[in-house]
Amino acid sequence: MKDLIRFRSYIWGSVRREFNLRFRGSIFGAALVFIAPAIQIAIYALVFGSLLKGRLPGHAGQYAYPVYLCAGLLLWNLFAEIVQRSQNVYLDNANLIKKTSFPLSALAVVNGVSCSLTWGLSMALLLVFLLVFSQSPGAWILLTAPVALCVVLFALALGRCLSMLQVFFRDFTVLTPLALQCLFWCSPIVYPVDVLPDFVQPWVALNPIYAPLSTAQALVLGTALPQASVWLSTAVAMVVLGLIGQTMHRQLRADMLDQL
Amino acid sequence: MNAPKPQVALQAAIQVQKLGKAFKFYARNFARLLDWLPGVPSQHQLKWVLQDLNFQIQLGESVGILGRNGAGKSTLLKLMTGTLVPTTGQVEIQGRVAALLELGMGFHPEFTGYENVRMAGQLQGLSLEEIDQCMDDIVAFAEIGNALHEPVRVYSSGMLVRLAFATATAVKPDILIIDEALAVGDAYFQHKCYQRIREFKAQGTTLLFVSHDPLAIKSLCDRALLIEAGQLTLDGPPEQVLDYYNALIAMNKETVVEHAAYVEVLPAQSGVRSGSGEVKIGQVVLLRQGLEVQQCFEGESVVLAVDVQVSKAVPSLTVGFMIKDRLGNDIFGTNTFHLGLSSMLAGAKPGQRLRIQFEIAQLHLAAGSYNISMAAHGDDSHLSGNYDWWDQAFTLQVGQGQGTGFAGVVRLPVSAKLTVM
Repeated sequence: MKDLIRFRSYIWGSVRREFNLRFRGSIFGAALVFIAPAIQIAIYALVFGSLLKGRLPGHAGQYAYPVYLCAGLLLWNLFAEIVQRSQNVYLDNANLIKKTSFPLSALAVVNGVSCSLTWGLSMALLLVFLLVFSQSPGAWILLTAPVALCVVLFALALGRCLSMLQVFFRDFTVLTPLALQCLFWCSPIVYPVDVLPDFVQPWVALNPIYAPLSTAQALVLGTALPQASVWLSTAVAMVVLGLIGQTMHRQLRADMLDQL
Repeated sequence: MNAPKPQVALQAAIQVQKLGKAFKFYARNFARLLDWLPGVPSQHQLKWVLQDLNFQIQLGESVGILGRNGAGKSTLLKLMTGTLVPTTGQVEIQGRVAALLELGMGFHPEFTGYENVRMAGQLQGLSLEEIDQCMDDIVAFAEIGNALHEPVRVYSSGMLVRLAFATATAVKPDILIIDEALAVGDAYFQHKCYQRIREFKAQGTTLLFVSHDPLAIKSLCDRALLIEAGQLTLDGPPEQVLDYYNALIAMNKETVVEHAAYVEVLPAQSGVRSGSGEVKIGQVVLLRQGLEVQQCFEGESVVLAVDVQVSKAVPSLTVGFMIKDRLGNDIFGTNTFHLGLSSMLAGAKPGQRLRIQFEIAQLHLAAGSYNISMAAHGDDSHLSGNYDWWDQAFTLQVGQGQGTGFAGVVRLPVSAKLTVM
């Protein structure tokens, strides 16, 4: 933690450079940050709002389904991106780690902050869309920020474990995307939870990513929040992964540095 | 961590205790997974790279680390900088460490020199204000001028290494660790780097320096460590350790293994001796007017007499000497090959004892202390057939002579003539 404070300049600098690098040599520069999510939202609105007329059970609005989809998908992308980037953090920065004495946790923070910023920008655009085409979501939408923070911490805890395994076993290059894809379709992002068969519904909350997703969707649509108990699996998963990561780090750090 | 002031004498900057490093080897990657399970017998083999190292480096000391490739030097440096974790023992470090293990660490080709310097500074844990304060110095050292605001991919390699070195050493570290990083640049760059390192040294920075360049070690270091097969083989003044190291290299090139090869460090003042032993150097004496002496005066006529014992037949034999000053710089050396005795020595038979007299008509060495290394080897290059190599076989004191005054190490035959134009 002390190291993170000492290297705060590096962390902030790295996040800025990362965004900078994405648009270096481009004409539109920072405007490009907004183009991708704006197009994405526009496509969903057009396809699911106007063409396919996708309707969300219990919601009358024309754009309810695309808004539901975006709220869930943005949060999922935040999760998946952090996990995948965390997983390769050691291998991608092997040279840096081998040649400088430098706190590795700084790299994780850079990862978390930079992905959160991307999510925040996309959410801002979704908010603009809501204000223009749909009902005003109310100040509750701001509560998606702490929900996202939970997702970031969860993703970092999971990514940390995977990053250490990845150093020794490259199998995870293939396995992790597959596992993420399965988890994606097991979570109510594209479909609403009501479409699931009745016998499955009570078990949905066992999915640790369900609570943040459903909470964010409810906040954006302005519907009733899920019960607080759904957060139990998320909390348990975060604590368990955190402890596993800590133990692995203590036991494997020396071997990991040798292996890099 | 509070770095003690350099003035405090005899405070250890680096303390290495029972340090050992072993790497784990697994037959299959799956075995590693088994190893993590409790109750499963150990699946790996340990390969020791360093074992039982103990030494201290005092504040402000400059220490060179020598060793052949694969001896464990780089591993030792990595353990000291904390990029590897020791298997046994510990390393204690007092103060801020700057490690130049590789120049241009973390430089991104798309960013400008300015941005890269700031990035590299942040990587050292500096704030942007601190970096900007050093920016003028860095630009001056790197001599990049206006190119500072161009992407570093357009830089010449010289500009790049200068910029990287200047950035890495912008803030004076308490301990500077250098791993042959300077070998990349040209002579001009190296000169500049050594200059800066000397400045740090003068300001009390502790220096740890790995290099294959004996001159750099001799001129920068007060002390040298020799690492051989993962062990600390020798710890002493740079000249002595370098002599020993050179002897090791020469021995390595020796293909004749059946001869009892040896390397021994003789008691203080007597240097290092090594060789394959077919011919051994016996007594080395300096004769002045027929009498054995340890001192003589500049310009005098002396004879350097050396006895050699031939114990086995050798294809060729050359006996030579090298006079070195007290810093270990070579002053003058020659051998029987150059002096036309090869054919006579070629007939040396086992059991013979030979005496070679090098007659030095005028010993034009400036007053001071010198030592003479002796060698008996195969042909004219000492790397082939090193029978006996004796560094610092003889110590010689030269006093002020009768001749005209001069400065430097040797007297050249100079006269002055005046012409009025």
